[in-house]
Amino acid sequence: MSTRKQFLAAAASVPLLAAAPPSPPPGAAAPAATPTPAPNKHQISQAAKALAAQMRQFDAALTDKQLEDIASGIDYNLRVGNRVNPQGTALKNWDEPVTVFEVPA
Amino acid sequence: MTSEELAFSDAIALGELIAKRRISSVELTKLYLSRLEKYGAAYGAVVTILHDRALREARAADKELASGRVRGPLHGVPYGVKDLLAAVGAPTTWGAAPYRNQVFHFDATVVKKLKEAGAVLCAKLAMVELAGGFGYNDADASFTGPGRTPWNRNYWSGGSSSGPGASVAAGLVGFAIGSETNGSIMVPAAFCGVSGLRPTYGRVSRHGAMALMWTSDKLGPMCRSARDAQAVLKAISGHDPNDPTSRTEPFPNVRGRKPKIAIVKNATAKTMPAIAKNFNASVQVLSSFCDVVTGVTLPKGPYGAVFGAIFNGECASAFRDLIESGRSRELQSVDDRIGGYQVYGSLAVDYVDGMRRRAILNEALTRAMAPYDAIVYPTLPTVAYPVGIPFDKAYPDKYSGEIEMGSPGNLAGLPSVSVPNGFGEHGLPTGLALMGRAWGEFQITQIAKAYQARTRFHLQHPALHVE
Repeated sequence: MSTRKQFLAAAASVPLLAAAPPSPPPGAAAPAATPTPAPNKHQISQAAKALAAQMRQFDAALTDKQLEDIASGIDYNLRVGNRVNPQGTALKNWDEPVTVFEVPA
Repeated sequence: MTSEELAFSDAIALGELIAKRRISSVELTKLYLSRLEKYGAAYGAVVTILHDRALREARAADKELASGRVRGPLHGVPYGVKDLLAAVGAPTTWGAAPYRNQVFHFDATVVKKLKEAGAVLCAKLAMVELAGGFGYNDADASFTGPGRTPWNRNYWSGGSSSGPGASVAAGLVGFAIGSETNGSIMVPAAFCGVSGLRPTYGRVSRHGAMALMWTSDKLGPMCRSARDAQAVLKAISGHDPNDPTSRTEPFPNVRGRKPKIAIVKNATAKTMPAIAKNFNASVQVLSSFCDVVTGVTLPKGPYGAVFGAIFNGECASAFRDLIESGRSRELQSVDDRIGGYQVYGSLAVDYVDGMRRRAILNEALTRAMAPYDAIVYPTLPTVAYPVGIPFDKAYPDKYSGEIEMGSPGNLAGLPSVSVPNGFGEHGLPTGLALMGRAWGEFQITQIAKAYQARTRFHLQHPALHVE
């Protein structure tokens, strides 16, 4: 993997490399296994609303308020995704994922 | 020695008393079973007490001892496990109503290993439902009710290993096993004033444990001393064919030189005053036997966002059946009833990008930590949150509530230990954390042991109340 990365990195045109992404604001994308700050009030995207509406297939009794909260959470997670790779510019084509995660000896 | 003194002794001391025949395992087990009955519910700490199994194992431990066999320092010592670990003889509820009748007819590998070490399983301990996977925002997030710290019942015990934290602090077990995906050992260790050790990812087999986030779930000891945490970790570690991520690795230690520790820049910038005061006092103690480097900065993230993106994908997958069944509505926390749908709606591309970014961040963090045996920081910026108030309203605006080192450490699978280092607002305990390099658990617990040899916070215990 490192050989391929090195090759691609060397082959890449340096002027096209993007700047490092900005750091997230405090409390961003807080881990769900610990207490989390509530998502900030934000204009909820249509995409998030549409995804949230699909959840009624699993529980028809979800209220409109619950759907709104679900949409808010989905929207928050979509914005978290944007911080991981802002506008597709932070990660480079050859940056491979941790596919099998292991802590090396 | 009074029964109260016995109950609050650490596991090593209890093992020594048993080995010297000053007390039998059966006597000690009966003491802890009675305390679990008396105090367990008051602190929302217990799901199932295993009377029959515990007494059976205790008798076996005593019988072996009588024949001259001592399995090790935990021989005959009673303990409890977070109720996400399978154990024969009790349901394994994951803290959640939809699973309250779930039964596995085998012991988790950790339970098997502790049996081999001679320890006695007394109880399945309470936890935040689904280990907090669906985003709870207040203490009332388990079908057994809110976990409460034994130092003040009006405040939360922390989560998601709420029962292990409270049970160890209240002297209801000799030690306990908790789990951490991102903070679930460190938070209750700090809020309950106990010594909690998050091992390196892969050090301990998760076979028989509930999965929440495969690439970050870890099992670890919660104890009344750092020396206990070291002994328990040794007993439960090692490769297990049933968990391909588990490995047998040595325990490198700090010998023949002073440990080198780093204090991160602005470590107390967002903490309560008492947390800062206790942390600074702790650094003074550490300075007496460590080389201390201050003002250290770690590579920039975005750690929280990367953790969140990966977490969302794995959690939604782990609980896809629950989410699609619509049974989230049975969960205790109103936030958890919709949290599953929120993670279910996350994007696959964000998950993969998270895993790509993780590789880069981990490499940078590993490089940055290489010169140090430990990074030292306050475990949390606040004392425990009050029960009955949403977490984000508990200490609004002033303190971030974030575990500053939580996401970096858990993304990289690095070990961390939290030990009590004093008391703060409302008489609640505060925590000192030491995060180590991969597989450096003995280095950080060695430092924690030396810290505890110079302080007495881990020897203090709360006055208990019955409901």
